[in-house]
Amino acid sequence: MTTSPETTLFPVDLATVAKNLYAEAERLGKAYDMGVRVATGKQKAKVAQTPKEAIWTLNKTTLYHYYPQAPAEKRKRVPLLLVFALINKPYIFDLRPGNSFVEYIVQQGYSVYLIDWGAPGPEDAHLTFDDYALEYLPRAVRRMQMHSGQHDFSMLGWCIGATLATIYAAMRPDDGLRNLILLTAPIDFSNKDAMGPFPKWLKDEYFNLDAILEQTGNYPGEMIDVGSKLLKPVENLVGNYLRLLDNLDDPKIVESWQAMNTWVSDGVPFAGAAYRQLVVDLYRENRLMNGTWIMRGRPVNLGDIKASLLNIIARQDHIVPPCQSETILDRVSSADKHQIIMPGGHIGIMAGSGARRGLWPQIDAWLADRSI
Amino acid sequence: MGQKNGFDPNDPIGNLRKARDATLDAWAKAMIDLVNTETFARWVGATLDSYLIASAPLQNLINTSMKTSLARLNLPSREELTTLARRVTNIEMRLDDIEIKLDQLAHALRTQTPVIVEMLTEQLEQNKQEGAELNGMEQRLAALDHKADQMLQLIERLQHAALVPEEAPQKRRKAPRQIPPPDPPTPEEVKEDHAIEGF
Repeated sequence: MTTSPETTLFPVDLATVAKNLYAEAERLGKAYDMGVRVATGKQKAKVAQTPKEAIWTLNKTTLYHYYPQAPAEKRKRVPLLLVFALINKPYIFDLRPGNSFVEYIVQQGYSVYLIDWGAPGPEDAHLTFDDYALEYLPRAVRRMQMHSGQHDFSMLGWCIGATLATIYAAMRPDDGLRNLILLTAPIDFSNKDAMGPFPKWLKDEYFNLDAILEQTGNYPGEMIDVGSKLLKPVENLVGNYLRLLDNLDDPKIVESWQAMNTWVSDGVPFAGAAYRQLVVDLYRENRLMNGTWIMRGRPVNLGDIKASLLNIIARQDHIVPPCQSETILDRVSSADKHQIIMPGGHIGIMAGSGARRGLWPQIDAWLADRSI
Repeated sequence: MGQKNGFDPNDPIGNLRKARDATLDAWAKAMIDLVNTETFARWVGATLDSYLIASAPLQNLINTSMKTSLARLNLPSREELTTLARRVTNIEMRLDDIEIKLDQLAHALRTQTPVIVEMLTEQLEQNKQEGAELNGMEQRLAALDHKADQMLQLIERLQHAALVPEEAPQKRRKAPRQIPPPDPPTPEEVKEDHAIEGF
């Protein structure tokens, strides 16, 4: 039975309505099984699947080498070291098969190494950026050089991993670092109005850093997770789950969602002393950009960076907005420096489904000529 | 007309979803603005402070009682284990230094050994050649020596031959004097000898 369109405000075709309702019921029927499996934890995401071996460990830090997959004639000479942040785990580089930067870049013929900082325990609460960038990282680099048989190497740092890579590049410019790739790097903390809520939340008058670290030692991963989610509370706490609900009948989307959700929920504590530096030296005092950050008795001078530089910025990054990354280009001494601004967010730019056609080929194109 | 603004009267679920998304978008934007205010920052700080104030006494109590219990059970405390773990890390770093030095040494040996072997082989070959040359020289020297001996012998012979006349008087002087033959007897002496011969 239909109603004449000419005589009603909203022409309703009951047959179509019934058909749509039936389609939705059918979808929910299909989604039900998957929903139960996801809710009960039977459906688990398979992450970090690219074959690798641990070649070095020190305290909680592990250096991995991914087995080469490209034919010998396609392999690049200069190895690539991936450095992730001190927040969450580095398998975001290798999220899941088909959507893994590591898998992609290994297939392009690079010899890929990944440094995993591990989860700091109470005994690591004293670790600082100095320790990570100038003690652990150089040792990992040394091991990689021995393992690969190459002195020159490339380094890709992401988020705070990019800050560590920057410090390393500035303090040890003659250790063989040939190419430096910074991905959404928090370097410049001067433009506090454009940096989103973090500078406000971390102000001295609101955020009692001493009291927190006195009780917790290290800054807990759960608090970092809550802080990150509060930047976009509705999207992170409601929207994400609704998106899953809408797509429960599509196993591919469910798998992708689960992989990302697994990573987001897989937080690690932030070493207490390093967290103090992040809040005080960087967010409050902007010491890295000002050249007043003293490490091992001398200032970190961005002008000492000589390696070829590729600076990648995510236009919609709400964690590290573009203003925090784009100014480094004017400070470094590198003769060869490039900057690209990609559409996307802090994580999506590298781990989203579009990265395979978007950012990854650009990284490969820039790096390939510089890895011979 | 019915499809205006994405509204489809024939798809009630789709409409609900669109309405939901629109509401969420508005809500999300409002919340993003809210969390970016000083008021929210102050509220976050106050909430954290409240949590810390509330949890601190309990945490202290747990820490103290745990420390006492562990001490009574003769077990190490958290602080002691932390100190131990740091010492282990320091030892790990030293081991790492030693390991890398050994690796460098091994690497140097691996890469330098063929060079050293090549150098030694070359040296050995050179020595052999020099040895062969020395042998040749020795033979030549021996031949020369032999020739020199022969020449010396010849010279000696020649000298000997030349020196014989001069040396004869010396030899005669040294030789026992030869008694001159007796003079023949006189006829008177022959007669006398003959005379006595009968006795």
